[in-house]
Amino acid sequence: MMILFGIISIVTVFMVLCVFYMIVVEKTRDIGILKSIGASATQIALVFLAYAGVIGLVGSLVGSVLGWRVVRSINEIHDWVVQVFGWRVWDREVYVFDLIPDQVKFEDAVNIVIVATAASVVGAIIPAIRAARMNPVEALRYE
Amino acid sequence: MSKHANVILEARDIHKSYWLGQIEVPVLKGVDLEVVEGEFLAVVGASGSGKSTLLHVLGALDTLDQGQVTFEGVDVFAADESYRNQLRNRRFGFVFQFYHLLPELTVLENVLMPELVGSSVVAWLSKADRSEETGMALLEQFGLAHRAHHLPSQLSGGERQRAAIVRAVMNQPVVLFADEPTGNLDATTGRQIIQVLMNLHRGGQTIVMVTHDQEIARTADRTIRLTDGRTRREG
Repeated sequence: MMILFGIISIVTVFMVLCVFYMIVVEKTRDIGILKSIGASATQIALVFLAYAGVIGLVGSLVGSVLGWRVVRSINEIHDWVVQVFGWRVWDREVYVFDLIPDQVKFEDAVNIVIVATAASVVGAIIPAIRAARMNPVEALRYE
Repeated sequence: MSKHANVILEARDIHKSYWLGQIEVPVLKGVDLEVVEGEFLAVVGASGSGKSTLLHVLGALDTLDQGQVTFEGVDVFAADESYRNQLRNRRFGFVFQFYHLLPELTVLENVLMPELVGSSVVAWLSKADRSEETGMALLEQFGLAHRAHHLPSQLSGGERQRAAIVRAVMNQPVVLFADEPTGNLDATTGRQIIQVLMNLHRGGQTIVMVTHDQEIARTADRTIRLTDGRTRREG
């Protein structure tokens, strides 16, 4: 479970890095504008890190609520899939349990939200540093 | 007060090159310049003569390779980065040819941005209302109050440039740098923008303007020509 969670976190960090790299490129001129009116490198970096933090927090909260709802109804969903498509994913003759486990541990959900938010911020660090180090004149000339 | 005492911005032996791959392209080759408090200085020169580069170096937007820029007696490039950030935020204002307003923000939000950038979160929360009033008053003064809540994309070129001027003067800068402020406007609108700058100058604003247009340069108190990376006084 921990290995799976770790792999997902690494993939998340890499994806956030890619997305934020593109956002920084797209916002190059705006970064130049902010620097021309006196924004410091730290302020520029914080804008992107805060953005990543908010996206990570909101995304993981929404994901957790949706995930909780799906897990709580997983047996009903499974029955519906069997009824409509005839696909039996959870074969009661193979597994020990009759029903798919549908309990959500609150502490696990909280940990996932924290790690997902942190992964989002970590993924944005390199693009944020790149944005912070931009030369204002070159940024303003960017097309 | 002697004339020398009124010099607020001084450039000495400024050298600046750009690199095109391995090839060095010298742009400024020993520029000397003085800006006297309250004057309207025009820097003219052919396209590619380094006018904008000089303005960027004077305004601490860009670095230099050699030489010294002194503002109010302080060596700008010997000081740390936070000093230059403060200069750009509190002491200098910039007006660019292509306006450079933040496209997702309204005109009022653009105008308030220098104040926001220069404040801590707590300080901003305590003075946001007052700053908004100041911003609105400035927009009113520049005939843009009705555009305060519009996006820059909804404004005409002249209105965008006036909004950019309002943003530049929001923090009451000591020096206003204008880089080809009429370069992207038609002749009539360009004259209106120059009139706006003239009005600011009459109110005591020090202005350094870069232009390739001789007619516009004549509106300034003093003109300096940039030729082959060096300055020559014209009048």
